[in-house]
Amino acid sequence: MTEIINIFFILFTFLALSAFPLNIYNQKFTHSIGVISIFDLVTLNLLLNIFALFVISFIVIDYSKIYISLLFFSISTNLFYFFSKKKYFKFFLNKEFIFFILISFIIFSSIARSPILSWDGIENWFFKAQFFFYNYNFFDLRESRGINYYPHLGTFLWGFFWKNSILQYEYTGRLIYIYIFLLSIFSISDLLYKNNFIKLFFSFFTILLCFDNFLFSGYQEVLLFSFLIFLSKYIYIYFLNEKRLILLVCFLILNLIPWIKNEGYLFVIIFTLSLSLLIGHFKIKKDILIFILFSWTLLIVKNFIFYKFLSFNPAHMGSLIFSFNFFDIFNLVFLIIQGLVIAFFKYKIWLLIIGSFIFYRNYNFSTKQKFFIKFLKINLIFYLLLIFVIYFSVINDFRGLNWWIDNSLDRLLYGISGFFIIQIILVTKYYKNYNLK
Amino acid sequence: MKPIKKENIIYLTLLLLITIYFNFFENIYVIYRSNISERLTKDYGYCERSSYGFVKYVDKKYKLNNNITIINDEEYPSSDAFIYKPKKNYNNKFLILLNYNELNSKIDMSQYIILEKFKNCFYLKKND
Repeated sequence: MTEIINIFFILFTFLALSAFPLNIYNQKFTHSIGVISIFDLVTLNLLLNIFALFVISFIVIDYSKIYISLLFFSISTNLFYFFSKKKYFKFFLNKEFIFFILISFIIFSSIARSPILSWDGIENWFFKAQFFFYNYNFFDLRESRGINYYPHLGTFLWGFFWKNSILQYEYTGRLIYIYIFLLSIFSISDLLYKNNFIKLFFSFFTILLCFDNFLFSGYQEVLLFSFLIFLSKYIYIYFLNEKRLILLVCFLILNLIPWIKNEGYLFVIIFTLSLSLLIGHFKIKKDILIFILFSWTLLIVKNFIFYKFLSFNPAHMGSLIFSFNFFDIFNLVFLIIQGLVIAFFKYKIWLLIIGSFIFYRNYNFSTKQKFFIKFLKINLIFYLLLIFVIYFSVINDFRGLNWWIDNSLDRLLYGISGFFIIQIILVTKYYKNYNLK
Repeated sequence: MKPIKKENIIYLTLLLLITIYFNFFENIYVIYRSNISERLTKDYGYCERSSYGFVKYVDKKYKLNNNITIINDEEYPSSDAFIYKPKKNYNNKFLILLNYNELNSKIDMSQYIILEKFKNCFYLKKND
């Protein structure tokens, strides 16, 4: 029974952190970024808290004190609004949000029942999370077991919530991944508006199609997947209304991704390159330019920090110094295509994404939406190229290409799929209009 | 009596489907009936696969203060995580050997004294 209470408690914690520091009465801000739903607000709050926790991971400080302070401020401010404004109460306790909370609890129970860690989870990521559980910080990670140059944001969240739960069971920390996963799906389905049921069915089927118990056993791909969903949603809104604050939200999301997994820095490069190719279409080109420049600067800063304090290995066992013959290239292309087909059927959301890219041209989109779809297509081409480059770099690895493709291509594609789920929404024709005045 | 709204029926149906898909009631029953240690032993095995049960048993009985090497003769991820203590040295005098394969073991058993044995799992001390 205590364990069930523990799960309730951790869910309450996530909710509390999602209801602070922004609130719907911060009207100037919320209106300017187009926050109209509870999931937008919850997403932004959680992202801000994740960013705050990311900064804290570099500081020598008692994480329990941080946790208690966050909880205290969140509960006190929210209680004040709950009791003073009826509208606030209604805003939070709508059916959709309660549905989200209940599904979170249902899936939490599934992890709690079988809290097993998978290979990479138990060999690498667990030890980083454990370091944070023992209140060590980023700079202590050089002494941790497992691969040194893996980034730490996901494991920091894992360790932080593991430490700050009632029973301090390891799996409680991993429940944050499920919460973020579900939040991202509900948040993107917010773009649908015409019919509440369509929204509901979309969330329902996306959860079923994208939930993979294996990936919740310590892997970080789920966070990549969710962050890319958030990113695609807010960059879509930015394409429609070009509000600077939304670009700021995108900047925050994009630049947290390299701190989740090393692939993240390649995602940043792809995203910024795609933006730069379309820069001519934007009204305020200066903003996009600053966005790209700062993102690249932060990438350099991240790599510098790793170079200085941990290990620096951007290629992860890959190498671009190799010898090969044409048969190797032929073999690489064949194995990748085979791997792609298997992965598309394993993560069936890809079948919908591919379908939506094929059939979208039948619909009448606005110019801005067409421009956004063009942006998605450029990203897709870059991601395909990226897959070839990644596996090309391990063509001479002693484990063999087969091993690499079998063990990582499906996970890589799973993460990337988050960015393109928005295309499925666009072809449903039930999207919201975010052209705010 | 007020008729139930169509919207509520859909919410409840979807919730029920998710409950069934994720075996919610069974999960709650299992969590309620067995503690975390029992569940992890079931998942990782007592003296099979990653042998969570045996490793934890040794850790508890011998109150290990330092880290010790754990070797598994079968292909499973390291079991160190079960009892790993950050920033502590490894005590090379002791060793936990799991799923011992006498025909092709990574360890030469003649170099060790057996302190604890359960099926094919051993807690060993190096001969002086």
